[in-house]
Amino acid sequence: MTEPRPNLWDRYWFSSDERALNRPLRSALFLLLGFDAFTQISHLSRYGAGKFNVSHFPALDGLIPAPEARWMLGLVLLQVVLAVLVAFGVQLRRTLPGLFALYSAGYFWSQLDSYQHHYLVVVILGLLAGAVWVDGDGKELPPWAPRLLRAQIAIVYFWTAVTKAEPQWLSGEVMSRLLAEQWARDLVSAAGDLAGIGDSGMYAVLAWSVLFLEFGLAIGFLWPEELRWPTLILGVALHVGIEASGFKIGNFSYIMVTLYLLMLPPRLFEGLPRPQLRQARPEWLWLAGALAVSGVVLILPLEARWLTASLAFAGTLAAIWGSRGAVQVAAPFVAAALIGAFHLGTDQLRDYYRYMGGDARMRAEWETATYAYEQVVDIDPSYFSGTIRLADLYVKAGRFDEARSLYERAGALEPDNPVVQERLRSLPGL
Amino acid sequence: MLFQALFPLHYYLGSSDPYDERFAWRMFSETRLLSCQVSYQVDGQELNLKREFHSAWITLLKRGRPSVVDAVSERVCLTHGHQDPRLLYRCRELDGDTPVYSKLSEPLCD
Repeated sequence: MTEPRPNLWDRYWFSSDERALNRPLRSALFLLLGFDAFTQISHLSRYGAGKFNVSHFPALDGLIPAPEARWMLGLVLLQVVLAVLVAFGVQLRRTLPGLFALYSAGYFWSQLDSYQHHYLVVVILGLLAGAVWVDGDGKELPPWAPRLLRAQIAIVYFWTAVTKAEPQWLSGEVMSRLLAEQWARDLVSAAGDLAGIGDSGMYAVLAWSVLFLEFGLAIGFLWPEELRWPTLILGVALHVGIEASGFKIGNFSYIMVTLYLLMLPPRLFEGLPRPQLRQARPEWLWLAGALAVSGVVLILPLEARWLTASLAFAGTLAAIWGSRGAVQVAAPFVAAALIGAFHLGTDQLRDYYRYMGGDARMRAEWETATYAYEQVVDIDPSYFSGTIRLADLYVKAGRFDEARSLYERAGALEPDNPVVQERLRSLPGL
Repeated sequence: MLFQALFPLHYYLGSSDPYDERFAWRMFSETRLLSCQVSYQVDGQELNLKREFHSAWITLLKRGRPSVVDAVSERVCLTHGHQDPRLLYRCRELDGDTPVYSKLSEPLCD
């Protein structure tokens, strides 16, 4: 008796085994998502400002509380931790749905985040979380996950191309307004002159090219075996070009280029060394990893640090419980190291408070502004403007001695800046 | 997946608001370049929106996001309802001539 021949549907989804793609894709994509989450921190202070919010589903606004900056801060830090755990393949049946839930909550809670690429991340996380529950042991994504993701990306390209089948795009007008970098505009002008069609003609040519390219990429993602290399080369070129041209789209280009790992032949990754997943490992390493995450979160001058540290500790323990790999045990240490390194190496947290303080000043919320600038000066004592702002707020509150001390400190930072002497002279008693 | 594939159709078939492109994968659309002038007047004086709302919400107002306009208007009614608040709101498309969304000096609150 012969096996029944699989139908077209089964052949499309399940005939090729692409499991070798899963590990490199998962590692690269989720480390990038952790980084992307971290880079959102400086903008989180806008959440809950003025106690105003519009969620993505306004009908729910009366039922759910408006988000607060400190809650969003905790949420995003947990996203960083979970993204690293997923990147390292820790208990995917727990960490992926957890990350999906956190990411969805953060996104849908407020229209302040209306980035299309964050919505794409929500969809991708939902698909992958569903995939590991439907068909997976929690150690890796199912073999058909790459095809699932490619289908989703094809959908995005298709509808993005449909968007461009409109007169103003095809005329090149939209593109000419969006292109920000001067070198790119000069290149278009030079190409237009060379072709004898001028700037506007060249923008129209580019607009039509993008339209056809995006339709082509949609088809390429659906049939990777047949269209692998043209899709890969043209798609990566498109996103590198978008990034280089100065379009303001956050980390979207990097996420899309990373997703092009899906177009590489799986055999490229079959020879990669696979870490031993069943090495002996003392139990205390779990605890040490969770403590490392919590410890790093605790040393950050964050409003939500206790909540974040507690949840990160509990989440890390829950996630790695039952994991059997040395690599997985390393994940929380890496998460802790990344958070610490980003904190020390970037201005994200200082700017979180700086924006909070600036915005609170606009609305005359002096208490919040003072608190925020105190954090700014605490995080970055060499920040001149923040020091002056805090001193000004102290003056407004009648705290003249503290203000004087801060003005003097600002004077030490920028001895030639006349603002300091002006402010000192304006203090009562001088 | 089928839902994902078809959901963006809501924008083209059933959307009452063509300037809300969320969930429709309309990257770099012409609507992105929509430009709106928005101001509220209370007792005949222009309300300083920056003193009441975060600048990120004002940016969304200027992009013509009606659900944000409605929510901001509701808040203005709540806080300034006794001062005869009025909304002056005019959006123009890329060509600069076509008003696409316009509310001029209508009484804001019921």
